[in-house]
Amino acid sequence: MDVEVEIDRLPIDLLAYIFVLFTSFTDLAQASGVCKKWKQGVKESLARRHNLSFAGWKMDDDSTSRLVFHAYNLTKLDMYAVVTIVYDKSKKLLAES
Amino acid sequence: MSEIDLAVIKPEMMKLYVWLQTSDDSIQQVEQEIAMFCPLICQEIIQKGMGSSKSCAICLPQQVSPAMLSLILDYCRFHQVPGRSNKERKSYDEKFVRIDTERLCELTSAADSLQLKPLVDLTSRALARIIEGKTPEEIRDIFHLPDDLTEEEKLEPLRNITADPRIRLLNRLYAKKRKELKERERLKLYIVLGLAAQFFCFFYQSCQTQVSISSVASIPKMHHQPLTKLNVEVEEEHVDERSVDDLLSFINGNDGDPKGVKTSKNKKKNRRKKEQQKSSSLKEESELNKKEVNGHDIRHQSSEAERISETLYLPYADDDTFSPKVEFDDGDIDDEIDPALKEKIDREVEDFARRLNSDWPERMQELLSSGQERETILFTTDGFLRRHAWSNCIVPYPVNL
Repeated sequence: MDVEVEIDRLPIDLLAYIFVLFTSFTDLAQASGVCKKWKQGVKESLARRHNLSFAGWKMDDDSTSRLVFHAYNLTKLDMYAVVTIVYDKSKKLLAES
Repeated sequence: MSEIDLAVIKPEMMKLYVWLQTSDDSIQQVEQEIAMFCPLICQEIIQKGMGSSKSCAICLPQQVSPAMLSLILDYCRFHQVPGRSNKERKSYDEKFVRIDTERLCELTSAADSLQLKPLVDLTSRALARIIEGKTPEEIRDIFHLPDDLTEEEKLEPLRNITADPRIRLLNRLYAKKRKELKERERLKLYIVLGLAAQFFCFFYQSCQTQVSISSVASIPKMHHQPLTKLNVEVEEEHVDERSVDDLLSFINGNDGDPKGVKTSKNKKKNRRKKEQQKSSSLKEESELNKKEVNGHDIRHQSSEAERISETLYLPYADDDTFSPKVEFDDGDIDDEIDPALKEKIDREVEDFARRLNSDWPERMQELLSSGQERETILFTTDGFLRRHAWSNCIVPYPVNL
């Protein structure tokens, strides 16, 4: 059986289920740029999410609003400010740990 | 399987084996206990009574090939055994998904069609790990996918595709608020810097070599200007044409009006004789006296806020809170002083001026030497005066930029 056929046989809802497992917004963005089916899968994966967290992410307003717009089943939304640690301080913390 | 489901099963349905038909029409005989681990097969057996014989075999979905069925049954067989620890199950699962991408996709599809959630979860995680951290091109190469997206669709994530006006309005409001906060912070910073600059200017004004840093049009521009672009000009020495009387009256606070101080003609003659003997240092001193009274900047007569607003070009300088204080006229007060007392004060002022002139070169030497010591602090490090050129700022030693 050909690989192309196999991956195409995965339904959109199954693709969406796979994309729900992504922890990185970057990976979601990359996946949405593969093909039309995957793009739809990414949108559907956002719709399936009940929790969305932007902790540790530097997001622009457009991207954030777009993600929240597609994630219409949200019950919890975490929007924390990105905390940047000074190089010396981070070195000290790493040394201590 | 739940107890309720088991209660529904009739004794005649409880068989050791069930018959399953795969996508290539091949029929397999499988242990019922293991087969019923898949919800779809379980449903077929309980609700429809299928799989009891070869003739009424359970038709499996098209996605389930014989190879995939055997893999799924292996998985079910392992997880069916009750005595296994979680560690054993995890290690088995890890080994189980160590297969090529083609088979992994096929297995995911087959498990999904059989509604076998634990296996779907396992294979999906494995696929997610493969996809994560890869570019669209790399993903297309791995899965042999077509590039059917247009250029517009590829660039779509860069634009705001949401047509929701509420989100757009919120974005605008947040942007406005952020801008306001930044402006406030900048204003605070400028006020602090302005005060610091005035402080520096105040302490380093009495000097021999004066370097005035030309005023900059506006502070925001100044921050972006490179240091070399700041025009540093050495002031020319101005010859003072005024008499000592004028200077003394200026010291007394009569703004250069000679009538303010009444002195005898003899004293005036003596002063003229002394004036001829004075060196060029007196000229410089008189030039300084134009600008300051006993080391105090004349500009200090106006209010602090007014000077800050001058320096910073604040938009709210016209506001009542920043209005200059009312200055009192000393003319009326001066008239009431007793003439004898007035003469005594004049004499004291004259003595002070004489002393000031006599030890001026020594004082200048001290100032310059202390200035040279301080130079390293102010100018070699990325000091305040180096970074910020303020108008009317006089530095007590040459600046080499």
